[in-house]
Amino acid sequence: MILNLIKKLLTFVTDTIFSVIDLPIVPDGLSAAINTLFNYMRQGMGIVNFFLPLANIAPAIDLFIAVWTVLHGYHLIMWVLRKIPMLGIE
Amino acid sequence: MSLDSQGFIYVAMLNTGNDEWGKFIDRYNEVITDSYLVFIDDYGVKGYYGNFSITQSGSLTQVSGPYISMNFADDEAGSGTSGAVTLNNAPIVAMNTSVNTGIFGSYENKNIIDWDTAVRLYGRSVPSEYQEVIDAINGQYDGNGSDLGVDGIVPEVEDKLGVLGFASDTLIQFVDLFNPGNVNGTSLTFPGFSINVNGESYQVWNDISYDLNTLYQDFSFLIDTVRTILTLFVWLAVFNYLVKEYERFVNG
Repeated sequence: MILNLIKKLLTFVTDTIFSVIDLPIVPDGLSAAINTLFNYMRQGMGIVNFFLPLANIAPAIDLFIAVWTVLHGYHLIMWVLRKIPMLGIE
Repeated sequence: MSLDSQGFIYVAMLNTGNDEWGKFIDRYNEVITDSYLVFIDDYGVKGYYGNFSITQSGSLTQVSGPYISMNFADDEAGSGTSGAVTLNNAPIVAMNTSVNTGIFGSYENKNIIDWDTAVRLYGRSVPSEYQEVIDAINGQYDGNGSDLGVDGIVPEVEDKLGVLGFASDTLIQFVDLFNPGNVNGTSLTFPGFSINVNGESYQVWNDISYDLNTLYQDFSFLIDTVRTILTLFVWLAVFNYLVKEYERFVNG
């Protein structure tokens, strides 16, 4: 019963939103081209993975992404805060 | 279907009258006239090889094959109010209910009633707390047994997302590229080449594939060295990045 209500509610919300915003559909040709591209990239990653096992460097990549995100998030927040004169942040 | 901690399946046999018969019902409240349950004993043996019995109340009818038919009837139930099914007077350790769509459980032990398990005797009033469970189970499925969960609306929303869905799919595909489990094999393919002469196609050479794993079989030490050096190189690069960012952050 609850799931039915949730489903109806979600359907109503999505129908309402997407009836206002009519998003175009991606052409099949473009989808096929992107899929082909990703197939080539997967092949390439197979070669890369052979010489440089991704499992070994996954923690390094995670660390890099985490630090990069935190730093840029910090700079973004500070940039916004500097725009508020009352705070007086230089 | 679940068993209690001691391995007993409890069934309720309320002795309320002469006309009402205890029967299994399925999740759509339909009476199952022939309920077959497969029991598995301590040795993993499936089927009926011992003496099934319902203690205290109820009756049990043996049929041929690995199945037993359980038929609970008031007129054979005596004055008992509940019972346990045992195999050779020992607890049953497992049950395979794949052939049985009946909901089975107990009035006596609420713990047995859960999303997969419930029982009530057909035609009898159901205590309110169990009725809620049964209603919830019935509400989970439509008349055809299909799940009415929220999974069904995901494709609908995806269809409406259009380019946004495509963008998210592409992003997910890109991230998946770095998942070691999703990368393709290690084979290098030199594509074939053909030419057309006077409308006739000549295959100059076919696809030539080479699996790099064969390289590892011959030069394992060399490949391991390359892998180690490259891994170290990446880790050092990340470490260098962290140091530089730290210095830049501290020094402003």
